[in-house]
Amino acid sequence: MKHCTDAELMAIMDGEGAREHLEGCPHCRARYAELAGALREFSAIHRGGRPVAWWRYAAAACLLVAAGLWLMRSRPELPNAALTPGATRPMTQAEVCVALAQDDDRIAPRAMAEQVFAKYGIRNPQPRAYEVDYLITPALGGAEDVRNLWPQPYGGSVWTARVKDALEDYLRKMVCNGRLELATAQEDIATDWIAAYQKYFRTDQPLVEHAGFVKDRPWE
Amino acid sequence: MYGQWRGPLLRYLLALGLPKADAEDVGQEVFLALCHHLHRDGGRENLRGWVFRVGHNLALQRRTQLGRTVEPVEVLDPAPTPEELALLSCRRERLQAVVAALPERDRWCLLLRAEGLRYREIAEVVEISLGAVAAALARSVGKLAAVEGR
Repeated sequence: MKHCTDAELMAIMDGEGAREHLEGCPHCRARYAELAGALREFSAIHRGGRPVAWWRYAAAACLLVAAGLWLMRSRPELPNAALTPGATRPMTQAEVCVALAQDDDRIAPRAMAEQVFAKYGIRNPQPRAYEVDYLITPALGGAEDVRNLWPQPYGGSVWTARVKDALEDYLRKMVCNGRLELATAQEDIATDWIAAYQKYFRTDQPLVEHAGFVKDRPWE
Repeated sequence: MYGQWRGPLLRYLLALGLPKADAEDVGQEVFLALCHHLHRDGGRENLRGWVFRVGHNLALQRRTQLGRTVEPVEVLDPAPTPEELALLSCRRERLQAVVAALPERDRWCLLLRAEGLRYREIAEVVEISLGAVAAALARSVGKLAAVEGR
């Protein structure tokens, strides 16, 4: 069997290539996941490590901007990109769309969740205050991997775990309706889920109906 | 546009090795040029690619004017805790060493992809074919994976 070239796989990542071969070829799916995962992870480290420091060294006129960026960087509703860059399984669009219901309701194993809290320096997390959230939801091919998990609080901001759940649900529908490439959905949600929400729902603030959206279960 | 692309562009210019003051100058030149471009009713397709292409070319000119190849400066994020830094520093250093050792064109492609540009946009910025972009990124991924022990 002739396999996809890297160039063809990268075209598929950007929604430009034909996916038919990928659907039926585990070898190419694995290579696709390897390329997409490595580039996403490098991007997270690259983006996570530099912009704040840039402003730190900028002129005094930029001080306010720097403070804003620092606050944004430390906002609890966004994961630390260096600790949680996101990780995916080698799944095709078709596989994601016929995935079992368990992917929609997958909770992180307790030991892994505790590891995540420890990584984020959270001791004795309050029951029902957090969702140990898959940054890239399993319903979009996200992996059960500590690099794909983070403690997302339910309170403290309008950008809650429930709002993110609504985004995940919507992105999966778009992927399965053929309106969005799986790799794009994965990358957008891993890079900045709030920006992705604003982009796909075309709003600056969470929609009212999403404030009470319930999909994933809280940490208990 | 300014708010959305300024940060990624400056990060890219710094990663190309421009000193901070020069990167900031070049960034301002790019957005000034964008204003002129839009004022002249220039094309509005793929303005992100346009911004990075102009920034890339101006950065190369600036480096030539500086008369030397400046090594990319490592700037650590002050936000992580000391524990996080301890965990991340080795890995970051390893990756940065790999990126610094890449052929220049491969490094450009990798850094542009890290800023979210599509392959077609990268090809336009660096002025190489799509196949060459793919080959550059595949080589970079291979080297990153090797240093990560994958």
